[in-house]
Amino acid sequence: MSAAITSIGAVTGFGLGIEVTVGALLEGRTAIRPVTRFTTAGLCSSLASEVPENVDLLAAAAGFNQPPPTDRASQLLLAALADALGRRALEPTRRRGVVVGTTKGALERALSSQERGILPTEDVLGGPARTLAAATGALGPVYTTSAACASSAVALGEALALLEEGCDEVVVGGTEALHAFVYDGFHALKALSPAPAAPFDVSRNGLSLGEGAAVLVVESVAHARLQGRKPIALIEGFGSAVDGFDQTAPDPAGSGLLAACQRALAYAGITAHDIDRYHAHGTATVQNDRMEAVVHAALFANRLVPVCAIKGAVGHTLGASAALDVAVCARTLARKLLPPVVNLRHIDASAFVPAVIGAGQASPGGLALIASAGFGGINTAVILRRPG
Amino acid sequence: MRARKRPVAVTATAVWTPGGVWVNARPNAGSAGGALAAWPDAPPLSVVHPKARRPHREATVLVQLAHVLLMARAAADPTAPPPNPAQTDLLLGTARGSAAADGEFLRDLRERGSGFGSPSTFVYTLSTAAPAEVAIALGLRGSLATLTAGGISGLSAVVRAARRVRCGESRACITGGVELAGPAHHLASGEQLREVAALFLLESSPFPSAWPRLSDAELGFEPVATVGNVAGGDCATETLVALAIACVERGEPHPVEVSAHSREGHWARLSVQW
Repeated sequence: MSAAITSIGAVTGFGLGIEVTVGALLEGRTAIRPVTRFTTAGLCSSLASEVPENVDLLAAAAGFNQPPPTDRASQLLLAALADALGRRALEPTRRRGVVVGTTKGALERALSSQERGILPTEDVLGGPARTLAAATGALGPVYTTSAACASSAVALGEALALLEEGCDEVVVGGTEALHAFVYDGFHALKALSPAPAAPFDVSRNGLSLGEGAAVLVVESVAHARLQGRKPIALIEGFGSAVDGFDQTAPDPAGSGLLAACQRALAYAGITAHDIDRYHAHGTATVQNDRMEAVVHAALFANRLVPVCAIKGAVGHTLGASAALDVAVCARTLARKLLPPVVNLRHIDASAFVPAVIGAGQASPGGLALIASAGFGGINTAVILRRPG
Repeated sequence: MRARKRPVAVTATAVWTPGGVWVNARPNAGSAGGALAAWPDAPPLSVVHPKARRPHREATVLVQLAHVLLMARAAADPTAPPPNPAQTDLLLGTARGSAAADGEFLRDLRERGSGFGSPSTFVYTLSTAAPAEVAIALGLRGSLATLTAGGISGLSAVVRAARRVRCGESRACITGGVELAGPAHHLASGEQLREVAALFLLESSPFPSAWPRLSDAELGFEPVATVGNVAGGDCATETLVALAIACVERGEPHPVEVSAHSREGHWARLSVQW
């Protein structure tokens, strides 16, 4: 069963608005800059993609008549929701669900409690989803999915399932705020690059973290038609698989990602031969990019399916990254454009993919595969189609 | 691309509470505010997961419990082939997520400085790290995720896992919930966290009469302002134990409903029928 994406909103290091982000991406710009919200002294990087200070997240979310959220992940999510909905008003209904993907949710609340030697009474992973539910009047299923860097892709997969079960629409979110706690952790793993991330580039040496959120309103095709809403893109398939290889390193053979892609293709009832573009996870770590190159070659039988990746521009937004990938893919698919891999200049021969370099390129193809791969060996694939 | 609706069977249960460990048996929730009971007969990690490298406590708990869950399934009915690990999913509910590892990593940073956190602890600050260790140990290659819906996260995960199996999206799924404490045991509300790990193996049953079946699984949400004062406090253990009891006790011929409403506004229900 296909599902229609009828509204998209986002906030990233480029600012508020999905078109702000897509415009910057198509121009090949990056939002990875020196970190301002906490000190990075003594760490292996000082860079990240932060939502600019001049973006007033609380003002953006003021129209929802809800108490302002105190955690940044929820604030980002509500700002993205405001961008997605515009003037569209939502009435409370049990036929609307909310699924949010995040890895740390309202982390500052958890840390604040831990500092006092206690645990928060409410769960902190689920806070952003409840904020989104309250703002959208969702009285159907409301929950949070965590699957490392594939968290919001899993949320999209859940949305497909909920629509099959009878929901009219599901508001899907992905959100992650940048916190020193997480930055320190990626430093400890030696995963951060001192230079802006450059996926698939011969000089790449790690990732750049980012923060942001994306919201996608996903409806059954029949419901969207009934409401007179035109789909921006159709979700045709979803697949997921774990590779069981290691906590932090992917299986070099890409067995998990390949299985996820094949499951998504089977779900959609198509083959890899039908795919016109591949939106890579593209973290710019040596291991990830090599693994994706292996998967690309195996999946497409060395066909030069163009590769896009956004983490050189907006950083790695962890639990939000898949939703942002899908949002960018849907918008650029609609415009028949391929966004470039920002910061990529010379493709690493050991991680060769036919990447889009420089500026956006025209592409008439209408089927896209979006890949995500996370710690714990979790892999997902989402297939989008441009409406005919 | 969906198959017809299939019966969903609970083919094994394994529950670990402060009261003890029960495999395919009626569990006891144990004392409030308690840590998981000692388990002298637990399968040694060196045997069930020889490749483990400094696993966090939550990973050790889940690997051991998942191992005995699959062993119990294999022993329960040798004529019914056990699920293929390559096609077995993991979907676990958790409200506390990685609270224990978060607390430990935070303590690292405070004591040693921001550049000197332990990488092996940081890995476990993801709620999926412990279930991922289960996948690595037991060779699972299906999907893997955690689900959070307040104090009924575990029951909610079972609801969603049941749906996957019913629709043919999943052939088998290890589901349930896990809530472990770390350096901190008390909730801000003053309650003490009662630890629990409860796993249920769901399969599309070729022998529907041999095991209890799940049906009428549903989730919903009511904002707390409209729910009022929800009783029950931290209800993760109660709901998971109630589900396990319904799954292991052949009771009345009519379905037993297991339902719960969390203080955060989430609700879940499903029916168990022998």
